[in-house]
Amino acid sequence: MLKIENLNVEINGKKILNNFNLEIKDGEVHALMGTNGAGKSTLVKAISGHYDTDITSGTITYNGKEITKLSPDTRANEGIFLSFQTPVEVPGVNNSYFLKTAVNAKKAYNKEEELDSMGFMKILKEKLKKYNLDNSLLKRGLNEGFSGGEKKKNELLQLLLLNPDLIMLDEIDSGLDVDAIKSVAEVINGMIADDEKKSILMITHYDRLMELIKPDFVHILQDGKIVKTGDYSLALELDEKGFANLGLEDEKA
Amino acid sequence: MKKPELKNKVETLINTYKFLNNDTTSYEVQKNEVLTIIDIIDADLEFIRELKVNDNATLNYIKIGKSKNRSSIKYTNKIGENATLNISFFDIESSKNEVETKLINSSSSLNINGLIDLQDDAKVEYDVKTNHQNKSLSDIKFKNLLGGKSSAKLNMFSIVEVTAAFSKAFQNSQTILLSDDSFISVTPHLEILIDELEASHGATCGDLDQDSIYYLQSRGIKEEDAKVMLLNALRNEVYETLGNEDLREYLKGLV
Repeated sequence: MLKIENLNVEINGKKILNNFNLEIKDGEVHALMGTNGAGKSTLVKAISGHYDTDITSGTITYNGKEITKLSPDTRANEGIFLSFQTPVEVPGVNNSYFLKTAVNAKKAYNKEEELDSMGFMKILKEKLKKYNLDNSLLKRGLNEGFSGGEKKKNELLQLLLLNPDLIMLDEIDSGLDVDAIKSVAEVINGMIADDEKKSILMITHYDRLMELIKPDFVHILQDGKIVKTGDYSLALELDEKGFANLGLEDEKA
Repeated sequence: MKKPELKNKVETLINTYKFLNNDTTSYEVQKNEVLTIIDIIDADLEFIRELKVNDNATLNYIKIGKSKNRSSIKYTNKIGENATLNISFFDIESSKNEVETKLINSSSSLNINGLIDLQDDAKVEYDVKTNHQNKSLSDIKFKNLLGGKSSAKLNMFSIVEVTAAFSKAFQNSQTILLSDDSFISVTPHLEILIDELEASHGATCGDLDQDSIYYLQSRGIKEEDAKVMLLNALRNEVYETLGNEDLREYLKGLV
């Protein structure tokens, strides 16, 4: 599904990703861990097409297409979704209107018939009911005055409605209580169960989310490149020893 | 397009000016009454408005400036005790406006919300003078969306006199320049003669927020559409100040 080769990314002239390589196949769950500043968020921003990320060399191939020159909206409509660590507040844009516009943008891109308000509300209610999400956020401005937990819920709602193939989660568990993390995992696991080709790339500092969404691969990122890859046991080892005692320098050498 | 209709006209006066009318018109709201007045300026006019709000009354005054030629309006306002004057300006064409308000009564309030939304070579000027002589409130806010070769000049001048302790005086202007040729000049000015008050003034000028555009794009919305959504959001913030949904939709239809 996703193949990243020799990717070099700068932000404001500073090199963040350094000959980065990663391949994610259909249906795989990858977890990305690393110290602050290692380049985790830069990676997912570069994949989604953030304006700050300057790709100086390398390729990102998604479903056979090289996407580094594509606009963020085209990438999204191709099936890439990034759940943001701190989603921006957009006052004045009604959340429900925004969700419908986004759903219809994808339908237009895929040359499908767009939904009218009734059709959209029907799908929305189905998703809310299935995952026991409340509809209190819909009438408000997009993320406007939302608590940290409400912002994450809204990201999940977007994820459910847009139904992407590649789901990137940038610390979706940060600031959430145990029950909220369970809700996140329920949504993600539900989506994987519905479509086993969906792939996940999740950034997390904590083991709790990975207990609930078991990764096939765990990568440790340091200085802009992956220095160690393992299975879930690597996350457990990291939790026990910390980055400093994981022997990462030996791996690099 | 279907002509907008306002369901509840009982408390609303709607004036549409299409002809030359160089006059002085006074609107007075009696004690404890609430009135909404909408002036639709659709011609090259030069006139004076006297807005008088008696004690405990509220006047919601709305001006829609859509004359292709430049209208010129002078407002002189008087606000009674515990009375409120809410003014909304919506300018999509050229106009020159002077707004003078003396807040001489205790707990009188002046709220101004302006939306200057221009294209082509439209020019709008506002000169807003407020004089607090008693404990009172003035809250003056403008949002300016300027495209093409349009320009706006905005002077906000508020004095808080020694007799107006515990007053509140706020001025704010937010400008989005949508083209390289558009121009804005904003002068917020507060003259404070006492220590006991709340006051602030500020003016910003810039482009649409890039993070917001990116966020909308990351959900599949094209950049052009994202920008339109954000501009409409800024417009909606001004419409939201009208409170009444029926009135909001009516005005959106007119503008």
